[in-house]
Amino acid sequence: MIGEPMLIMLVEDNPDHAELVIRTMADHRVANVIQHFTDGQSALDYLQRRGKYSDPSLSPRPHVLLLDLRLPKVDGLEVLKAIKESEELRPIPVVILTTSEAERDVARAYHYHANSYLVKPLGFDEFSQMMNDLGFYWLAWNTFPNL
Amino acid sequence: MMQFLKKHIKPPYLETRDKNKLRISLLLNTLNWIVLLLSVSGLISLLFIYHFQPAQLSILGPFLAFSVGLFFGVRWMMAKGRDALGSWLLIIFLGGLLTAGVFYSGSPRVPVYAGFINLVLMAGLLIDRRASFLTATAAFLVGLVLLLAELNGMLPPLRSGPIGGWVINILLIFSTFLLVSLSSKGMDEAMLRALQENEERQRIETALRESEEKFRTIVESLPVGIQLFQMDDQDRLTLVLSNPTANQILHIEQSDAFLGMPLESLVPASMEGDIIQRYYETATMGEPTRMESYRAAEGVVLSAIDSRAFQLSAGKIVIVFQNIRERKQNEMDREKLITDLEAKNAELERFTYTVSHDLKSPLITIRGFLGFLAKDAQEGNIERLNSDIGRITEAARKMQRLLDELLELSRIGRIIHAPQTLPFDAVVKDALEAVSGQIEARQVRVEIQEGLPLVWGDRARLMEVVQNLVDNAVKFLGDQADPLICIGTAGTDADGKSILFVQDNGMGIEPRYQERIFGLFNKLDAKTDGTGVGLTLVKRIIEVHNGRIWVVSDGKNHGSVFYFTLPNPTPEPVI
Repeated sequence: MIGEPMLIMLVEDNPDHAELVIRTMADHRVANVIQHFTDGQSALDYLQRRGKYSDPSLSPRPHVLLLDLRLPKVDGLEVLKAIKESEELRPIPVVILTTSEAERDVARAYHYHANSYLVKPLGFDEFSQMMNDLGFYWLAWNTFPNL
Repeated sequence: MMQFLKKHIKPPYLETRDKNKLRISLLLNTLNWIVLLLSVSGLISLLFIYHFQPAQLSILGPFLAFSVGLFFGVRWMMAKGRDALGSWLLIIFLGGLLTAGVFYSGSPRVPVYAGFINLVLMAGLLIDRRASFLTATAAFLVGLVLLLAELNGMLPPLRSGPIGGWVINILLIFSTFLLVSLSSKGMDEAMLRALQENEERQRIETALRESEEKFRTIVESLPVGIQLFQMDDQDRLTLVLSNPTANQILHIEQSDAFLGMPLESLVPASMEGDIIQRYYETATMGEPTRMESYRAAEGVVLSAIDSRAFQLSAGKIVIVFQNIRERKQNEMDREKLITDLEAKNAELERFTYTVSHDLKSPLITIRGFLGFLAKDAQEGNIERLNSDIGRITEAARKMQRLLDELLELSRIGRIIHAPQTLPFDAVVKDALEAVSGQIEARQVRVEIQEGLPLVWGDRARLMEVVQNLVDNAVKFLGDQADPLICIGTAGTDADGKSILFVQDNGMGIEPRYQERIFGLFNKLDAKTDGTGVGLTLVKRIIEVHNGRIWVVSDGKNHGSVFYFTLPNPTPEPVI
């Protein structure tokens, strides 16, 4: 694990939020590489190695996937469903990172086997703290499956 | 004992409604008894007068047997209802006795001969005028024969002395009196009975008339329709009675003209179906029927009737019905309100959900980058400071726009101008004017089909529909070199509502996105302008107009057609 570049895949349509995540994580020196996708379709294309991502060497498996729920084209829940239904992609830890606190969304996310559900905090300090803890938990403490 | 006597003294046949026959029976019975008693007592007295001489006994014995036999013969005939025949027997028997009496008296001049007068009277009273005349003729002939016999010396010598003649005359006078009094008594009784019966009948008739009047008034003043149908010889139920309320409900002006009409032609269109079948079943099987039937269009109840049918007797039914249009309308209005409320509730839930997500999103951006601002300032990173301020400003602006549009969206369900009949082409024309800027900028050709229908709705809102759809079409034209938007109609749907469409030859929408595009703040392309509220707005307006909206597109770069339905101008209630 040490020495290997840690890869976080971020699926987030809002460029500002993506910037927030990337910048706070950089500040906390959490991730080595953050791969950012702005919609569900391109995220799935990457994971399923279709189109421009067809070369496996250019589309390595992420260690953890941060997924927003409301996405253009293919909805976050559908991306989640597609991942968890795929024999190959299922082991990838998927953390839902969204603004929605709706019970229905939480329930559905876990129903489709999300590994964690995080609500984006409103305050900057909390947001920053969450990104720090998130990185620490998933990239430092967590043991990953061999993909 | 008394009972036994009464039964055997009374005439054997009395079960008759005919007053005259009854009188004759009573009279004949009385006379029959009198004749029997007189002949028996006469014989016995003769036996005493002639001192029981055996020679007389041999003649009188058979006579006694004969008169008793006659008595029972007459009764038997009365029991058979042959009163006239019985009467004749009695008259002939008495006539024979009289003839014998005259013969033994020696001349038809004797008072016994006048006994025929009583026979003539009896025949008249018991039988009829003709019988009376026949008896008189017979008496005349008997007298004539006896007179000739006397003239030829064939009769025994004249016996009657002055006292004997007087006694016989007196007897005859009193027997005449007896006859007259008996018959007049019978007549009085019959008259009295007839009078009583007449009174009774009149009383019943009056009661019947009053009762009929009472029920007729009730039937005619009831606020429910009542009709009576009767099976005719072709097994069709035909109208026998129809009360004013029934006529009013069925719009019958002259109810008499409809009497005798078959049920099928009287049942209003709104009650067709198996109602006729069920009425016939009620008429034949007697099972009561109850049903509610109504006809409605565009949420307006045109007619509604609640009817029940009962069997009066085989092949005869009474149908009781009332106009329940108002009640049905209220029910429908209530159901519509509930449906609307449920839709609004669901909308509200979606709204809250969306707001919680979409309004929070820029807020996170603002607060997040505000946090970075402090850092930027500390680090003296002016470039990033400016770009962060830019992000904050943009997020704030976006939030403002979201709020404005949410407010707009929430208005649609509430503030709605009174709907009116609108020529759809005029709505289209006004809407196109409002978006002419975008159309010209992109050099889009717009075609409007001829013969767009009249629709029913809120003019300003329907304009917004067309405006948003055209705006949407222009936005997603893609790299189409010859952009074209076509607005037209595709006939009517199953409910008779007009189907309208806005078609473009732009980017098109892949089938899997076609449902999502109407969701609030859903955007297929994050980079396009707008907040994703336009199509939600359109859908909301169409739904408020009780319409549907859907999109048909063969996918990427095949253009798309937005179809929507709108109600026709509201029909007026017919009943």
